[in-house]
Order: sequence, then C-alpha cells, then structure tokens
Amino acid sequence: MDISVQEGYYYTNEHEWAKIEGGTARIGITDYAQQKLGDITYVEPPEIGKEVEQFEFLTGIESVKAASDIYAPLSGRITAFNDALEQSPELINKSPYEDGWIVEIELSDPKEVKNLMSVKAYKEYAGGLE
Amino acid sequence: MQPIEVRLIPYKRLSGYENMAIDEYLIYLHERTGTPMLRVYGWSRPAISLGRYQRADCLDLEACRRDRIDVVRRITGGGAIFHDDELTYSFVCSDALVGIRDLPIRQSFEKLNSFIIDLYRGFGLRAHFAKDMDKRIGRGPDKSAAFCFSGRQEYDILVNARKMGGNAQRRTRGILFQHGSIPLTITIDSIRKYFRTPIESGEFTSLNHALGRKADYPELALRLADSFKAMMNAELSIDDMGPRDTDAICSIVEKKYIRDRWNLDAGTEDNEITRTKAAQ
Repeated sequence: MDISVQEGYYYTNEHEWAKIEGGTARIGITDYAQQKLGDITYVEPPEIGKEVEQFEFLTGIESVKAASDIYAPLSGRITAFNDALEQSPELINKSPYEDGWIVEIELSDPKEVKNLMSVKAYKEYAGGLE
Repeated sequence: MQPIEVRLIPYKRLSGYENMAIDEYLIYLHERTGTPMLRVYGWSRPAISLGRYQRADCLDLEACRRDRIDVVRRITGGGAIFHDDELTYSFVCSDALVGIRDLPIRQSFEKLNSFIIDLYRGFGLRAHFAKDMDKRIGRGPDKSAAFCFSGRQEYDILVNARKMGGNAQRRTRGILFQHGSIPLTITIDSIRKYFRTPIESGEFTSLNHALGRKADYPELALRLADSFKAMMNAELSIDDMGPRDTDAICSIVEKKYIRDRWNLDAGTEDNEITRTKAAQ
C-alpha cells in the first residue's frame, strides 16, 4: 500500500494525526487509515465542548458497512467539528490531511505530544504493517 | 496451522432488542476474556434493524408500531434489515487472529464471508461474491440503499445473481465483530409497507426460494457451523451464557435497546458499553 504522510504532524498507532498550533490541535485520520477503511459514508459529529482523553474514544466513523472508532491523539475540549463532513464524508478519502480534518481540540496538556509519533517514526510504523 | 478455538453460543430465538444487546455484550465479553465467539440466533417476533448511523426516517414508524414490528439499532454499519424467518450469526475475535488486521475492510469481508459462500454452495446453490458476478455482466460500482438487501457492494453474496442476506461489522480497538443474516423467506409485500424508500423485488432472494424447498433451522445451523469450521480453520465448543451474562444483557436491553434515544436517533454518542463500560 502506497501511503502519504504529512510533514509537521504528529501520529498515533491507531492512525490518527494531530496538527498542533499554539494550544489547539486539529485532528484527523491518516492516509493509511482512510485506505484501510475504504469509502467513508459517515462521521459521527461529536458534542462540541466535550472533554476527551488522550487515546480514548473520540468519535465514530462508517465505511463499507463497518462502524469503526476514532481515538483522540491528545486530551482536551472539542471546540470544532468539520461540518463539511456531514454532506461530504468522502473528503477524508480525498484529502485526509487537509480538507478531511475531523475535529479541533483545545489542549489540556500539551506535554502529551511526547506520547505521539513523529513523521519518521510513523512512516516506519505504518510501513511495517503493509 | 493450529485451528482457532471458538466458543459457540447455541441457537435461541429472541426479540430484536435482546438479540442486539447480546451482540454488543459479546464485544464486551471478548474484551475481558479474549475468547473468540460464534453465536447463531433467530427472531421470536419480526424486527427491523437499522445500521449504526442510519436515519430512522427511511421507515414508516407508525406502520411498524401498528404491526408491532420492533425497530432496533445495530452497532454495525450498513442499511436496514427486516428480520423474521431468518437465521442470524455473529462472530467476535481479535482482528489479528483471523489475519485481517492490516487488510482493507472490504477485503476482510471477503475472508469472513467465505464461510457463508461455502454454506450456500453446500446446499448446491450457485453462490458468488457480487464482484465476481458484476464483472461478468459489466455492472457498475457499489450501490447503497436504505434497505440493505437492495444495496450492492463487491463482497455481498449473490445466489442465482440475486443478493442473499447481508453482513456488517463493528471495529473497536483491534476487535472484529461481524454479524450477518440468512433469510429463509422474504415476503416482499409485507416489508414494503414499513419502508419509505422503494424496494425492488428482483434484486434479492431467500434460502427457501433459492432451494425450492423449506430449509429447517437445525439443519441450517449445523451446516453453518460446519462451514465456519472448515473455512475459518476453527474448532467449536458449545458453551451457553450463564446467569451473570443474562443479568448484564438485561441491563443493556433496559438502558439502551428498548430506548428510542438509541433506536431512533442516529449518532447518539457515548452509548455503547464498549465505550462506557456500562455493564461493569
């Protein structure tokens, strides 16, 4: 599987990414994850304001008659959901690192980033799964 | 390769609420024990199950209420299924155990649905994956539909070129859960009145129709177990659930599966025991 990885992002072993700017992180799933899931038909809009914990359930996603979980790369409060996904969930397939972002989180503990993978580490990790 | 050891939960006919609560409980049980489980079950009264995120407005809920058709939401994806004269199975295991951890979901259906193909072929039926048939007739790509049997995806199973039954998955933390239906009869006219979307009769079939005779449940359940053992390289040992399981399942039925909040409001979050550990 030929997969792309975005420079400057952080990654989880469940194939989520986080793009950190100041005290906020934009969250999505990686190219590897979208390829594995296949055609995405729905993303569950999470409650804005909800607190999430690192590596715990963030929201649900459906593809090819399978309902799967997405986990939070970092702890914090959900401040935004990508509304474009309600009409066009396939944005995640087309543009997993940009237009297909899922939520934004106001971080409660930015130091947690040390538990995430760098681009280099994630490339090696995802490459080893193929 | 060593066969995988799978606990077989024996056949029972229960309501839609109970059936879906047990299926969710199996994931919880697997999280705690690591035991792969196969369950075969039937339906004590007719029910329509909606996919995890499917909107309930595809149904005529008033007609369902009037005719006492239970409407229940599944934890798996896909479209609505009318369950009545049907054998249903569910299977839970770690995704690594059956070699699908790194497979795209589409291809995992190919691996897992192979035992259903084997089951149908054992009856002498011409069973294929839709992708093999559609290539031959030049049919286009996937089609989704509110009524599952009217939809078409490449690893759906066709018998005599018509879709038979449906299969759907739930994935959580390396656990695979799949359930699927094997309809013995489908009475199209009685189904249509519960759906607001049109249902074409020529797109799907049922086991009895394809066989030209009435299959019986014990025979079908036995054959299903044999096909599962052969195609999944599994050994099955019958082990029913006990009173503690029953108590936990009753609690899940009460808290979730008889509630409109779960059944009718798609996308109600944080309401699965695999997320909230409500059954602990």
